[in-house]
Amino acid sequence: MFSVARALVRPATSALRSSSRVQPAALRFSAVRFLTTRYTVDHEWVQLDPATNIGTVGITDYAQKALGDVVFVELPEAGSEVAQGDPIGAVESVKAASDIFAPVSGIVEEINETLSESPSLLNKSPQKDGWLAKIQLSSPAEFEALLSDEAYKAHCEGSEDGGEH
Amino acid sequence: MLLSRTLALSQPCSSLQASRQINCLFTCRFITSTSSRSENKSAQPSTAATATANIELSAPVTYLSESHDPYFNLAYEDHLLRSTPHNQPVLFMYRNRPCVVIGRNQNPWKETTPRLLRGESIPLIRRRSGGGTVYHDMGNTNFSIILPRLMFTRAHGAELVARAIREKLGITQCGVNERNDVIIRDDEHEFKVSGSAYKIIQHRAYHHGTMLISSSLSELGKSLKSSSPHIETKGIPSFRSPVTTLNTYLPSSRQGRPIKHDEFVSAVSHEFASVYAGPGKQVITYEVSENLVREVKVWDGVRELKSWEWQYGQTPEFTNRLETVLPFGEISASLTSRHALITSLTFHLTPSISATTAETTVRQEFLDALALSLIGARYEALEGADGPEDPAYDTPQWRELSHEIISWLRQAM
Repeated sequence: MFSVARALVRPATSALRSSSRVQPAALRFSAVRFLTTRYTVDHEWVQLDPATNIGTVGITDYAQKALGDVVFVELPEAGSEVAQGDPIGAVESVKAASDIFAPVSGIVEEINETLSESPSLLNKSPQKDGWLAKIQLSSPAEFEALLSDEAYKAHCEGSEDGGEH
Repeated sequence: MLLSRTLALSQPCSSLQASRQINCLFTCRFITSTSSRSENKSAQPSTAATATANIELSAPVTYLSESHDPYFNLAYEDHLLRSTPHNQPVLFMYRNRPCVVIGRNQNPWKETTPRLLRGESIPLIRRRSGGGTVYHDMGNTNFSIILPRLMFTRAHGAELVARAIREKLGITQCGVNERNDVIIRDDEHEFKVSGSAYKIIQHRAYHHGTMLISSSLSELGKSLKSSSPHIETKGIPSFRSPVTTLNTYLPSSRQGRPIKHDEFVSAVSHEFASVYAGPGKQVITYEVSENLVREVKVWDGVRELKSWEWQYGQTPEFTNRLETVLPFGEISASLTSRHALITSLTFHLTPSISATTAETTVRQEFLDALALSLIGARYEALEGADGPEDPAYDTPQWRELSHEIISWLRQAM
């Protein structure tokens, strides 16, 4: 379950914070207007801030529920260059390992350092405080090609072969 | 898929009862668990994100490996996870020659002493699933149950195997504990006979586990001893549990006849079939012959498992502290490592009483330069390490000290 309202609020404020020297009102307006979250079939989300072309990346609530209690998260190094689909990190939840893939190509601008000490944030807040990394997109077209909110929901419901939906 | 042959339809393992002699030369093994970290929380996963009732499974398939090569078997297992149809239940069973297998996010130096394992020619392998370190040998049989991701639960595979052991092999004390380990209950005691781990990908997940059939449990301690008590890792530590073997608990009806690999394989295969086969869904069983497998991805997988970048390079960040005594004082080294490369290193010199302050200052400066020269080197291997680059240290005495400290580090890491 994702809330569009929640998805819109956070990056808007961060855009406001990071560039308050400029014209906050104008930025806030543009951010609120254009912020979009898109999803991958690997159950990750990317929220693009068009003002900076930086995408915040995380795993979805769906993914989090399927994993169970997360006890370990490894993230890529800030500054590293990643290509779409590359394995860039690992998650472990009570003896279950899963991989994190780069949903978009670009440069890792920042990683969520708090996850290293508090991996359970991935369970508590996968689509907000439990974000994984911020990536400066090198190919915005990749982002546009990711799943929309509706398409991702359909993917979750219909991703298994033979299901009746 | 290039597999040797189809054994049987609908009665998947009957031919396995036949007389394939198993040479139980190696009988030691060990099981560890990693679930204690979150014991205050539920070790159970949340239920799958959507109801599983909607998933219609196809006919189940069983793969039995004839290979005892741990790299091949683990690569083949990963290949099955990724290439079999999303809704197909798959059972894969295999044995490995002696080896140590660590979890995806573990530290090889914290779990074992890699240098000693190399000396004994015991492969040390990082697998793709989570969990702790296990020792494999020919007295241990591994099972892997691959299902749609949405059907994945930690209890399912363990319950299936425990049922097979109770009902087909007659060990009635066998069960599953609250941490989803297959165990044998003996009065108030509980002994693990199986170590479990899981791997989850986009549409699929597996539960794989070891099964201790016959073992003396005596040699394994050697293989799973760490020589690095001060390593602090952000990764997953192992926790040791008391273990036993199935053959320690043979029912009297067997009159001392031990359980062997083929019989366990048959028991689990039948139980698997009784859960997943049905009208129009007969089990197909394949034997997997290593020398007939042509799938490039399997062999790429073998290569990756053997690479330094996977085996060591995937080690989660860690710190370590090492100490030694030299004629002029005590040296302690504190280091941090990421991807098994040294990211920071400091030597601290505690001078002996005879050393003058001036001498100590010069030595500490040398140690600082030496530490700097080791940044970026591979932990333990310290490949290419040859002392500080500064020409001021290009003298026989400093070179000798460099070599002494570097070889100490290689031995101590």
